Amino acid sequence: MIKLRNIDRYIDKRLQRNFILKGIDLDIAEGDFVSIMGPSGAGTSTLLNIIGFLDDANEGEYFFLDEPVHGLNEKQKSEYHRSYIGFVFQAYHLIDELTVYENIEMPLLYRKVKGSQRKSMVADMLDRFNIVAKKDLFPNQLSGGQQQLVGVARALIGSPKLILADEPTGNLHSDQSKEIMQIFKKLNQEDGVTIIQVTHSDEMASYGDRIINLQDGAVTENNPYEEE
Amino acid sequence: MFKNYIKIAVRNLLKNKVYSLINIFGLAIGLATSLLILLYVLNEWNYDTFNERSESIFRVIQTMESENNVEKEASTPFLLGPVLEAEFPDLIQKTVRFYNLQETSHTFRNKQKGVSFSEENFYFVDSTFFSIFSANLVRGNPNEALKNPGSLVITKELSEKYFGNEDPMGKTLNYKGVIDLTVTGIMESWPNQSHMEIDLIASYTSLNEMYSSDQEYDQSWLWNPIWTYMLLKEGAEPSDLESQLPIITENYFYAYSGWPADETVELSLQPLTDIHLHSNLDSEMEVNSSVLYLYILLVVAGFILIIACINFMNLSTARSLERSREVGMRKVLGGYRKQLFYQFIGESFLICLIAITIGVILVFLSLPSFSEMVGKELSFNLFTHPATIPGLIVFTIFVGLFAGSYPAIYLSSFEPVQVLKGSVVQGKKSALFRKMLVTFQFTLSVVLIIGTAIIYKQIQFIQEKDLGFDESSIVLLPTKQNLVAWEFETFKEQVLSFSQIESITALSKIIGSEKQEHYHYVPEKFGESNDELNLALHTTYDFVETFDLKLIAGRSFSKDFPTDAKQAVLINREMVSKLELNSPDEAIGEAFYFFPTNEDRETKYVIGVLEDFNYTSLKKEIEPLTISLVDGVIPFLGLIEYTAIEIAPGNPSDALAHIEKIWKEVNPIDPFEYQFLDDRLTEIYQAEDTMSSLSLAFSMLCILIASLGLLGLASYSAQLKEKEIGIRKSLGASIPDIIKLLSKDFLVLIAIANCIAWPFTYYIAMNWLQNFPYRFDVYTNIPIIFIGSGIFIMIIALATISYHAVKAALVNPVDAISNN
Ligand SMILES: Nc1ncnc2c1ncn2[C@@H]1O[C@H](COP(=O)(O)OP(=O)(O)O)[C@@H](O)[C@H]1O
Ligand SMILES: [Mg+2]
Repeated sequence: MIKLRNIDRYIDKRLQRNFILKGIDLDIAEGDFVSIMGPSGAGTSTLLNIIGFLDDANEGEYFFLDEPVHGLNEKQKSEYHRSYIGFVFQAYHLIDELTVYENIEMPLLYRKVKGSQRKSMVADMLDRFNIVAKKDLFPNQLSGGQQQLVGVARALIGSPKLILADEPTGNLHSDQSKEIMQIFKKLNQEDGVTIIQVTHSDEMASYGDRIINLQDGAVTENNPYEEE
Repeated sequence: MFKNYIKIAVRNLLKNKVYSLINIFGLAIGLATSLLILLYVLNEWNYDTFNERSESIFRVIQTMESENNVEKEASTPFLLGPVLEAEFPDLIQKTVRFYNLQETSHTFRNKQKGVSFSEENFYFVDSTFFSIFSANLVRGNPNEALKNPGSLVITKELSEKYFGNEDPMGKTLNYKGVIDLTVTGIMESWPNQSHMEIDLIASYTSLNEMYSSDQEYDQSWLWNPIWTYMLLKEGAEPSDLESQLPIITENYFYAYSGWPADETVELSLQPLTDIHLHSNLDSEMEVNSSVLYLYILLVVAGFILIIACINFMNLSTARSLERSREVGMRKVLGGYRKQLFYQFIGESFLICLIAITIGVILVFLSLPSFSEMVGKELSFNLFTHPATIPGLIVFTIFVGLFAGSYPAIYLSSFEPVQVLKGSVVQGKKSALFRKMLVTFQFTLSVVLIIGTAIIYKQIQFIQEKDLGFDESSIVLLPTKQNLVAWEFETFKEQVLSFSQIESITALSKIIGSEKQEHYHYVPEKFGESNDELNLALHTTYDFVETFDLKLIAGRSFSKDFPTDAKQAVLINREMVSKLELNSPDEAIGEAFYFFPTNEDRETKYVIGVLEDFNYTSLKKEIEPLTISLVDGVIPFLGLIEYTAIEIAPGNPSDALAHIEKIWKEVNPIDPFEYQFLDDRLTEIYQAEDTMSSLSLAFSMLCILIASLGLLGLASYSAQLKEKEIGIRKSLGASIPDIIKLLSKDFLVLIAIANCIAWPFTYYIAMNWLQNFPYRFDVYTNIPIIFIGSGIFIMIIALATISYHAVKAALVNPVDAISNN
């Protein structure tokens, strides 16, 4: 599903070139549950953003579903965001002015889903995550764990094939973290959704099938590409 | 989706109430102001369009040209109308003539009731009047009302004034004690939006009775006291007719036996609807307005709108940080940039819609006082004109696009990676742009303030300037050809018998006012055939004394010198220079020809020289002047229009009561009407006065709106710097230090604004002042005005910013730091 070849991402400073990512080769198949690990500043977020088309590599090739990503225009990228990729962030990034219900509903609006269908889809999601009672609250009226549940619900409502989660549990207690991981696990196993998460915790990483270690912008361990 | 946008927009507005209020009210005030100006401009623009056939109605004007004189005149000879109608039946449907005997006041009397009033808006008109102009007759038949000699049509208001509740139809009003006119029609009051004012019209055929002793009165092609209008036939082009008009000048004007050989005349057609804004000829019915004022007002409206829109742009982009996460997230969820752009432009439409609703309410609330200020009956109704509401919507869309485009482009450009990472998106570029916009706003404000100050200063200067004569405590009475004129000596004697009356004289035109006359009075020195005209005043004894004029050589008119009556003339100092004499004393005895080319020319000799005084208004320079004595009833009737009485300082009511008593004894026909000279002279500067109060009001609004914007930006910048302020305070910074920290940036911008505004305004102001021969002392006052305006703006800005600085400075530093 994802094929990275020799990806470089750098920032040019006045006198030098600072590499954030250097020479990344990575293959992720459909149905994988991958955990990316690395110390702070290693470039994990950058890698995830590149995979999710939010950032562009400076060098190298990236194929998504065998299609070259560098050939996509803004609009095509947005299409993938609408129907293939769901994001979950450490800081939740819910929209403060919208209620729980409206936050979850938002992706459907961009996908132009009809009103009645939208209603039932959001209701299902609220039900699934046990937050029906909270549907009219605003994000700042929820605990961190509840907010992240909403974040996950929002990522899932479009039935994406790929979920990109950047330290989804970084701000959560261990109970809440486990809940989120359980959801991911279930999604991965029952619905075959591909999941790529960044985490600093070994416990959380262990929910996945594969661990990729990143150090100073380079993959250092468990590179399946080499193993195979 | 739309519902979602609206929700977000409304919730954002409610969340930041202060900003929303500033944004919406700034815009609402700006919109209301431009709407008011627009109403005024539209009102001026649509003069005379109430006439159903206004497009086909034209006025004939004539340009008279001799060797050194060009006069463009709005009026024509008596017979031009009928001649045109007869000569061009294919082009002209009808013509109509207006004639007011060249007088501005007309006495009408209801003999039965014993009431009389003097009317200004009276004309003798042809019976075609009703088929050319759209007057609303409520009684009477438009085809008959003005047909017969002695017919009179009056407005409803005047019917009440003269007849009370009685039915006036068929009743008579006596005109000037000369003829009786019978009311044959009543019309609705003539619309204000017309270049002419009409309260009464009498049939043109009544003139034969008025001129019963001289049935040749209308045969002259040189005398042109008639306003001639025509209705062109459908399909006829004015140019078709204009190209044939030289035939008329050839066959009628030049063929007239009294036509001066060296004079040419050209006739042209003026569209009815152009007159109010584009016509400033001699002998206009009323003083017209000028399209220039409208352009100035439109520019001011534009300024105010721009300033209000800039507020909107600045506040929206300054607050972009708060929307940035939403933008990022929407893009992550698959929103196109275009969709985000539409969302934000939509929000600005929403804000504009709220603002225009409030603006319209503000217009309704302020319309009465605005109407009073501009001296018009302006009305605003959303539903009377079908274009009003669509117009407002287009206006809203336009303002929304103008104010909202930049913020929408800016906000929709955020990249999700940057935003979501939380790296600050407050771009340097947008901050710079914002600074430029603030500078621009304050530049416009400074231009308006300085402009206002200069207009105000100049008007004040003109109103206070010493005119060279004493205009206080002088009462003017209209005296043209009425019984007081016949009995002036008796009147004078009896008025003077009261102790509070100091002096009395009579004169041809109002001293100090615009309308003055030039006569063919020339110094003998310059030769008999000299055909130049000189400014001339005709007066009676005691003129010099009544106006406290300064005699610098010789003496004034005196009954002790019987020759004065026929042979004396006074001149002013300017005339001495014109005579190329070294001192006023040398001028004594100089001879003047009065009408040198006439058979009965007179020779008069200078008996005294007066210090220069502003005989015409301050809009004109002092000209060489001759003042000659009118002695005897016949010249008095021919030349004199006003009596001027100087009364003792203090309460004038006893003196006025005395004058009224004498007036009624001498002249039982005309009502007693008076005006103080200083009031009359103030009227001359009415237009400038209105401009001055308008520009004062608008520049204050401008500053208000700009300050609102500054208030928003300052509060935002105080919020951004909350942490910095907390740290500085904990390190011992005082409140003034904090104010300095926050205001430094803005004050620099305002200083730059002044630097841009000054040269620009100076240039414009100097150009405007060129219109006035008498200007305030520019070189000492301009620096004061400029620096004063700069300081004024600085103080306002500082006060605005300080409010937030003090608030920020008073916050407990620990709270501020820990909050962040
Ligand atoms: N736009 C940028 N400009 C400069 N440096 C950046 C930028 N984006 C990321 N970096 C740097 O690249 C490194 C990796 O960033 P990131 O991928 O966010 O790290 P992490 O692995 O902690 O998620 C960090 O040192 C960060 O400072
Ligand atoms: Mg990271």
